[in-house]
Amino acid sequence: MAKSDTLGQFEQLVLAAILSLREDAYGVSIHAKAEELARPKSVSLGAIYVTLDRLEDKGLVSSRLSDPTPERGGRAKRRYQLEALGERALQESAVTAKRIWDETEAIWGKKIWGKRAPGRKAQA
Amino acid sequence: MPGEPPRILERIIGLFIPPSRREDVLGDLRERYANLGKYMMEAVRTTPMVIFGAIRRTTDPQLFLMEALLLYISFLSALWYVDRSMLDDQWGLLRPAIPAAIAIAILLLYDAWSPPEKQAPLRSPLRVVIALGSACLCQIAVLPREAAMFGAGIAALLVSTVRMLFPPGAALPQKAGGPAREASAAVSANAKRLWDAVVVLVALAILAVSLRYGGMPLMMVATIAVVVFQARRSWKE
Repeated sequence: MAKSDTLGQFEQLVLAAILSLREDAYGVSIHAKAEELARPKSVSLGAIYVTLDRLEDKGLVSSRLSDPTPERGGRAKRRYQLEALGERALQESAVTAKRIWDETEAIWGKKIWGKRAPGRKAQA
Repeated sequence: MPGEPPRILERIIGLFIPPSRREDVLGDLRERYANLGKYMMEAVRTTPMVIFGAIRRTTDPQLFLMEALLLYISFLSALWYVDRSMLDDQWGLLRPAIPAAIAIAILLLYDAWSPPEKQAPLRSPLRVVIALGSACLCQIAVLPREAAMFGAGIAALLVSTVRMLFPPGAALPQKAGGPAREASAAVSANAKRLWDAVVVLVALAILAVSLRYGGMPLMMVATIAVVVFQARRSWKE
């Protein structure tokens, strides 16, 4: 079994967006979902394309062009889906994130949900 | 209903987007259309990223470095032969880098616009010649005409040979579910033979010119090396 690549934070975001969108994962919908997940940071459509290309090259996702639709001026959507390698990489990332979450929650407790970010608190 | 972008504007933006992504990116931009200003802004922000992505996908870093080095050495040796005193200037060594940089940039964009897996076997040398021709035209004020011509000739020979030996895209990562690059980028035996003949003829012509003008050591060595290499390969096959 091949060792999966380590994912960057933005790659995790895009993979999570594809996972949650299932059959409806294409440029615009992935961008909308990624923006929702990355709040309050904004995400550019171009960054989504570059990341999707990179994930496809790594074999974590695959894409295919769907039938053209009139609302897109007769142009096709490029639909993405998670490959087995991508699912495993995302799973590993989620497990690591959970461990980090458990660790920080043990120290900061419920404060992490407060209005002030931990970094700011430390500076203050 | 927010309306739709002007068709002519879509076509202009489409020219800047590599064909491999044109369909879906233009569709996505149209789907997000709210007003003309926002559409333009989004297109201006997105297109460079799409171009960058296409270049990243179609460029093999090792091949890129090899080509850049060959281009620079070709123009440097040509300038050394034609007017050695120009190399003694403060920016002398930079002069041959300008046509080399222009040619490599054109090659990068050319590859991104027509991916290697969709190339006809002899397209690669053809695009090298076009890139070098454009580079020569762009930097006529920087190098003497003879140096530009000699440099472009030897660079065309060397870079095309490198591209035939290591087809661009063959070493790039395989797309999930995509066609095997190695299989689609393979060069047919007839095309190889034809290219071998072209390389030998051009190499001999350069050799004859360099002998006529009193010898150009680097070019002669490079040309002889290419001829010997090609002959050895043809004999093996």
